[in-house]
Amino acid sequence: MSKLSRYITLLKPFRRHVFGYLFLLCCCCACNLIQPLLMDVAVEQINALGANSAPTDLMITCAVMLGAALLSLGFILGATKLSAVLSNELTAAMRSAIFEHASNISVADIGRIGVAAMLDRSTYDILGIMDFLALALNAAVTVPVYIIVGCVMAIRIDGVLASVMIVFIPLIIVMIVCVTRLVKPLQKRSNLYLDKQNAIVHERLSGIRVIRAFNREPYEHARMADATNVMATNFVKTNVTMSVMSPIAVFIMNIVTVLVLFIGAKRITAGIAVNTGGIVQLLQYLSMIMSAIFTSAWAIVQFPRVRVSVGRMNEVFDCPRIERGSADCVMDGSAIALDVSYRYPDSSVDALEPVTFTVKSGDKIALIGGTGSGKSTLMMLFTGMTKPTGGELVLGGKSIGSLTVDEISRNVTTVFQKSDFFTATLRENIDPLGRYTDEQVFAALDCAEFGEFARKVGLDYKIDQGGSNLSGGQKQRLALARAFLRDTPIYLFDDSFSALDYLTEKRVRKNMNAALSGKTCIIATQRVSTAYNCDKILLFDGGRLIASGTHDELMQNAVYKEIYVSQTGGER
Amino acid sequence: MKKRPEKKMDNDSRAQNIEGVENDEKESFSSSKFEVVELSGKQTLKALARDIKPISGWIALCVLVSLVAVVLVSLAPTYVGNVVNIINDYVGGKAFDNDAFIKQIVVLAACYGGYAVFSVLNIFLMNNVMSRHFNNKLRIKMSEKIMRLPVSYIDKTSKGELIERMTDDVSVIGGTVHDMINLIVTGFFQLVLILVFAFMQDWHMALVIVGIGLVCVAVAAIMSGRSSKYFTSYMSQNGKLYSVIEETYSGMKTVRSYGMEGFMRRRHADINGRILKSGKRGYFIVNSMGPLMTFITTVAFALICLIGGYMIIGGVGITVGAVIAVVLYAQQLSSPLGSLANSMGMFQRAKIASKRIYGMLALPEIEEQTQTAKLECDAVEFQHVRFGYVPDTPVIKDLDLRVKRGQKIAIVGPTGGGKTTIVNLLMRFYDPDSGRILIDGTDTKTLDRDCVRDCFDMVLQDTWLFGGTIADNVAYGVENATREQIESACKAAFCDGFIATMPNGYDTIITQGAANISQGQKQLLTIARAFMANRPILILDEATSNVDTRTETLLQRAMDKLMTGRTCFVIAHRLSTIINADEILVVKDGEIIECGTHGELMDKNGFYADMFNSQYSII
Repeated sequence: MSKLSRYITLLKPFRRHVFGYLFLLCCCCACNLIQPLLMDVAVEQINALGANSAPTDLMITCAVMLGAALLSLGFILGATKLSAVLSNELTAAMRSAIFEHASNISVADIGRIGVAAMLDRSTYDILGIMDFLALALNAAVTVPVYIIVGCVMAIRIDGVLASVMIVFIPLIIVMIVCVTRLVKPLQKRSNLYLDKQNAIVHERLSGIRVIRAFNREPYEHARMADATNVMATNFVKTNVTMSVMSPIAVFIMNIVTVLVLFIGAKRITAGIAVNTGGIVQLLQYLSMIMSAIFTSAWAIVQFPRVRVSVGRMNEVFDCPRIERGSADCVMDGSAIALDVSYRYPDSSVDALEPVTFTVKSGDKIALIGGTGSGKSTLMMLFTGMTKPTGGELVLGGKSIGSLTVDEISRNVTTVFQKSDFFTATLRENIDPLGRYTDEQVFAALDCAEFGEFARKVGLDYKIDQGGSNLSGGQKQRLALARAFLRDTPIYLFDDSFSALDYLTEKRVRKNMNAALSGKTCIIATQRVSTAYNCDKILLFDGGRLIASGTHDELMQNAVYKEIYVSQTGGER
Repeated sequence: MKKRPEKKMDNDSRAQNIEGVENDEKESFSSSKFEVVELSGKQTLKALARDIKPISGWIALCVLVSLVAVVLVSLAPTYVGNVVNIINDYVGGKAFDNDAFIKQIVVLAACYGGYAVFSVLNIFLMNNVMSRHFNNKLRIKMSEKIMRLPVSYIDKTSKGELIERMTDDVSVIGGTVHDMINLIVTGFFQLVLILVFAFMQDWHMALVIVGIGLVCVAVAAIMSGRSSKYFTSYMSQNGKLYSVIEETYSGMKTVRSYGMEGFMRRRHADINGRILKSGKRGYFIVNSMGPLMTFITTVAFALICLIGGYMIIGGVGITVGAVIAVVLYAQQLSSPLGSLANSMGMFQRAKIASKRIYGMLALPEIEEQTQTAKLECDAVEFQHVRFGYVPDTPVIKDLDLRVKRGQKIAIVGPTGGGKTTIVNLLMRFYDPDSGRILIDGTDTKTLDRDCVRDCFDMVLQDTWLFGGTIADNVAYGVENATREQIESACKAAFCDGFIATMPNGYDTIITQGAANISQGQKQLLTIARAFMANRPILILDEATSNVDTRTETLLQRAMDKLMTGRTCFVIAHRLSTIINADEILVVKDGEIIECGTHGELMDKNGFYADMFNSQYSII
């Protein structure tokens, strides 16, 4: 919670709103405190009425009452307006702040936290914190006012009776804190079971074909039903524990009522000065204090959740920002790997063992190997988004560690294995900044063999989230078009042709060779046909570079030959 | 913008985290991906009533328990009054009646104690009834429904969305039923009590109370109507924001390497601004409701004072005591009216949730055929099969195909040509629009799906493993498999090697998303699963495309062994894998454009030969 100050600073631009809100709320409280007194007066005035007497006093009282009510309504509406502005502005500011920060932390950090978790932190957690803040602001006024006024009035009536009442206040607070403590682990477990149930349903939906093929739906249903039953049991436990708090608190308050009545009666019969009216008033103040305590109880109950939310958001804010800047530095297309290796954080073996090679500017290099061979790991290092754990990678004569993200992005174009698309038009997806003419965009699309489709649907065609209205092959071609549209010295293709059939791939590669002549291309692939014509082929296996050379040279290598034979069926 | 729940009455604890705004964010975010039957309000209510019926006994008990609690708590003030009167009498000069005093105090304490006990009992009962007997049953019902939904529906539905509905919407409905019962019992009981008492005293003033009540309800209705406009926009914008954030984070690599940060931030800021605008207004309206109610109650109080006052002066024969009594009751009006106003929003949300859930439960189900047959699978035949995922855009136009037992059929062709569709039709995940698929001369459409599916072993490109042990995953679909059988299947699929290196061997738990094994290993396990199930027809849909090339060589040999004696349908990108097929079908634009053996097709020098050569051609 030490880092709560981070969020308090967000309040700064709204200082006037905060003070205005607190002030209006105080005014409203004052109006509300007058109201019971006025009501008492009115009742007494009615009491005094007889036939044919003039009700002038009563009318005045009622008028004052209505005036106070109107005033109070005005104050509270003003306060509500301010709090509406305040909480919504703050939520928006916080959303922007975390989104902006998240856009500037490393991809590795995002991966570590997880996209789903990042999403939660950028939406739900903020709402949770804001709710709490609104509540805390409200409680900051009402709770002290009611408790202090209530206690002072009670003590004025009778010190002993008031102390009976006041002694019980901490008891209730302690009870609330205890229940909150008790509920926390229960809630955690409930969420765990909920996640478990969701995981089973998710698994079941994604495996629907296999499940149906093996006729295992009844089994999956039983698994899900089991999980749901366990979940329900836990929910009941959690909710009962949590809900029981309120009747217990009410019960404590009622005990105090009985005690006040009993002790009050004893004191009156013993002749110590206190009258019955005083006792009744005391009970009214007691209920006022109780309502204040309940307001704060709700805040206390929320507190652990807010603390979790703040902790989770801090996790994002604590990630260091990546270096930015000098997007206009253009480098040459050479690349050197010097003993570059990579090991995943939790692993004990290198995913990529130290590898050294040189790529001349304008060369076409293929990295070939199966899954787990280390070629994709190497591609990831070339993008600069993941730092090698050993050795040094040099792009255009500069160590990749010294380059900022913007410098790399200006000089390296990457087509990822799984390409990402956004809910926007086709054009915005490949030219988000609107930097290119329609001719240039269509040229790039043609180059990726996607021009025909794009002309049919138009550049304003809406792409659904994740490109779900495109087939795998279409997505890959669109991703390639996006890359061809750019002009950078280095291009990286990470298995970027895998969803294309061989004919289409052949045409795309032909276009690409023309479009990217003189550019450095590093192509990771599983297909010999893709690698065949490259200037140099690097053969990876089990995280190691085991051979390099042209296709003909590599045919001497047993592993390469095996791949070749398996893909060509041994003919040719 | 959500109104904070005053009581934590939601049935499931998680509902508190994700109820309200957040819940609806997701709804609008992917509404297009979760289609349900559009039900009318009446139909929804009917369906809901049907589900509540079995627990009506329990609910009656809950109502009874809370009624007792309410009665006990309403009795308490009377005894407080009695105690005060006894003290008052003493102050007025009478002797202190200690016995009566103690008696009243004890009864009062008993009332309070009883109230506490019955409240706790009510909480316990309510939570059990709703969580266990309503929410739980509804979830299980949805799970059963999933079992009977066609694959086509699951395919086009967002999984996350369906899961959200199963957890959140159910919680919202359960929570609302729970709250409504409490509200009806306490709120209405209180309201009725006030009205009855007021009418007993004087009907003029009682009418004022009724009038004020109606005004409150009208105000609440108007306000919630006005705020719903802002709410709707707020929610849909929130959904959009959610999706912008999601795609930015999940596509961060692309965003960064293509310099799209500015574009994304602009989209975020744009939507954020719109949320702010509607949020401010909606929040204000919703939160003004409470203060307005308080104000109206005060007006009522003043009105009754004045009317009462004039009636006393006018000498209509009303006593001062009666006026004061009604006035005091009017003071209590705000509590039931306030909760009534609060329940409006809650009810609205439950209505949306019920519509979705019962709409989902009303979805058309797959037609079950009861006719079963033990199929020998000697022949598989496609007769003039026509099929499209979307009406009028056929993926398969007119497919004719005869396959004899033991034949190895390869299906090749460009992406989107309809290859995988053939598998969907064979397995009856989808049924043809016209034409027939016959196994042993029987139209599969007339047979029970499960007995059709029992013919097929299937290895798909998308591997699917569940969160269980490796052994359980391999033995999936085979009851009472022995460890020996599992091990030999794994050996055949060449995955015994990597399983041996796993910390717990065959008992290693595959974690969610199977992060602890590689894509290639996953594929090997699904192949082992096919070995294990041992069925007469084998479908391999790009089965080897994710296995690395070297393992593939071994696998190919093992698969050749598995294929002997079985009818096989092999779909492959990599044409080298299907050279030995008995017949190769080249599917393009939904039609078989060429067929024959590899040799025949190469001699023909048509589309197939072109495709085959392009694999190795040099640019």
